[in-house]
Amino acid sequence: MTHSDDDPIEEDVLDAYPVAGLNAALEDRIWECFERGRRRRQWLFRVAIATSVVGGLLAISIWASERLVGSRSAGQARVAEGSVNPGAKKTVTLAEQTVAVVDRSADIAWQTKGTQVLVTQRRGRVFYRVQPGTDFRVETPIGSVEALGTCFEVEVTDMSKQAKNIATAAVGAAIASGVWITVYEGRVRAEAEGVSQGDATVLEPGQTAVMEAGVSPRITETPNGDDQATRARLAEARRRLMLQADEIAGLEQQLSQRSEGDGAAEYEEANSKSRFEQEERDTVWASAQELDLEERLDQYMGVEDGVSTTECRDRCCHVELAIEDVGEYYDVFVDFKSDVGIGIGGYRDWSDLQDIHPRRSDDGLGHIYACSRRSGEVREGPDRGAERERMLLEARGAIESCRDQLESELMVTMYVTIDTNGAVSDIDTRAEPAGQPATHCVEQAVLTSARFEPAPEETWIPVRVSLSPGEGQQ
Amino acid sequence: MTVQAPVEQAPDELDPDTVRAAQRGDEVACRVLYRKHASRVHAFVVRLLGAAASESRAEELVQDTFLRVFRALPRFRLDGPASLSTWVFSIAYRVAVSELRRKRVTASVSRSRHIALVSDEQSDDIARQRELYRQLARALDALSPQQRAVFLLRDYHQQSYQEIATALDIESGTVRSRLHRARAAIRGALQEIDDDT
Repeated sequence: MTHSDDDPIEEDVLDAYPVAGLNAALEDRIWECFERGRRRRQWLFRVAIATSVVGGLLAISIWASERLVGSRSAGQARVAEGSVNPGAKKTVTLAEQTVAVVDRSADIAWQTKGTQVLVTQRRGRVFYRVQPGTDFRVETPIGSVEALGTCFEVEVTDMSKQAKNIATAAVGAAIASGVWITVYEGRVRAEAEGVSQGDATVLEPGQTAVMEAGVSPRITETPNGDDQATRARLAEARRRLMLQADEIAGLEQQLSQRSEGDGAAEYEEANSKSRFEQEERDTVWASAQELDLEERLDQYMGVEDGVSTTECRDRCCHVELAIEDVGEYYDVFVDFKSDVGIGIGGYRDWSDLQDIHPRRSDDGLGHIYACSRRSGEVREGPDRGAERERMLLEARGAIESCRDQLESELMVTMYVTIDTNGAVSDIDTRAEPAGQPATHCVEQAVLTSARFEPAPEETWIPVRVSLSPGEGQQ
Repeated sequence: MTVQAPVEQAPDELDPDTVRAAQRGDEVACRVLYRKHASRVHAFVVRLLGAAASESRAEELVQDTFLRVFRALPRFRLDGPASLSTWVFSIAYRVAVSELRRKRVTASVSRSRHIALVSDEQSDDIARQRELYRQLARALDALSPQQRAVFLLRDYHQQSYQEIATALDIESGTVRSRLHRARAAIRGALQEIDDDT
């Protein structure tokens, strides 16, 4: 007996495979999930419009309203306070757009009321970035430091740290105990206790001063203009380094506790892969995350449907990447962990990431495990992936013009750091081959088109441009 | 538990006004769209996943499908090459195939949930029905996901060759060849029952 293409399987046979009815509650669940995602997208749209119309003021106020803790009812001054004890190095938000990066040895407490912030810094080193217009003051055991600008560092030293500080600052004389102040942007006024008010010292960008009890703060370094720029970059680099050191310390702690731990404690401290494997699926959260991650992989990282497989459970997700080319996999991985992807440690609420490179995995696939904080906080902000796309599109013409300076095929990779105001605060450029004049041209072309919305946290994105004498590609 | 008709009738397409309202995010229109397509999508996903699908997982995949549908809906073109139902099937197919690629789905909740629907009386007919189901499910599971999808869309959901080609992003000729092989495999499996009895 033969059958043609139009000869379907008999209906009574097909009847043998019925399917149970669909859960009626699913409709509401889907709609709730969709609405939640839509509210987030509408919020992004509002921020984009508001920023373009009123220069970002409205956008900033939206964040301000969401991020201030301990707020009272509308119309009243917002009051918040907190403290960070030694051993818990981290970044804390003190007020709108005002953050402190607190070193592990430091000890601070603060009180915020409206635009007034008073910090008590008892010891250790703290890097401050202050929103202009904030009445910001740091009280130390020796004197006070008042911000007249944006970005500075205060270190309260003790005897045990004396040698190190002296070496770092290249100061010849020994100092028993004091406060070191370094200004990177804006100005600060330092005033030691027991000194008449007229003897306060105002520090300019790039200057470092030491403050001792009963003596007017003394400026120890006044670098030239080039040095100032270098110092500003150094400050950002140091800040990033501190955050990375935090991450390393956290991972080391996880490992040490994991080797000692058991049961529930071990689960809490396990790595992302182990955590993922132990989790049950929370359907609403997991579905939304899978959708988001897959869209980002597809839209911003060039990973098409079928190349990646994403599965999320309760707090963690697993992304499987069928990418054999090592370089290509690495690019996707870097994109993924940057703010184009999930933004580890950033405002998108992901805190932990582990990857198994295709060459190290049994199945030859790349595996990325990432876990979210799921803190419950509203963490919304600009889409750095979309902004990167837009930036490259706008920069295309300018990049094309760089071809005139091209000596051979060129690959430029830039790691662009964006501060909370949306300004590019650092750009780390790598070129292959190095030394071509076109590299600088490409860097400038990209930077000229760089426009980013403010974000609750510092963010970073990789940008890759390849240029060949014949044709250009981004 | 209710049982829906095993061979789902191709629904009339939604009227353009409702589709446009859904594209604007109108809740009522989106819910109408869901109700129009949900059971078909569910049946398609369950059979496409075969032994890999637990009931709850299949439900999650239906949810994933419709979340994608709603999000991508503004980009759907009413005058485009695919009808809305074909377009929805194409999304369901990608979601299900992605699930199959995970290779991590637990092998199945017992199929007894289906069999139980007809097992109240012990009779030869029921025994044969059970055997028929077992062979059909096994034959479907033995097909590649691509062959299975073509077969399901054609024989269970009455999609045209062109619609299937559009939904699965393959050539019309490929649809025919896959369908031919799928039906041959299923008929071969069913022949074994006849031979045994």
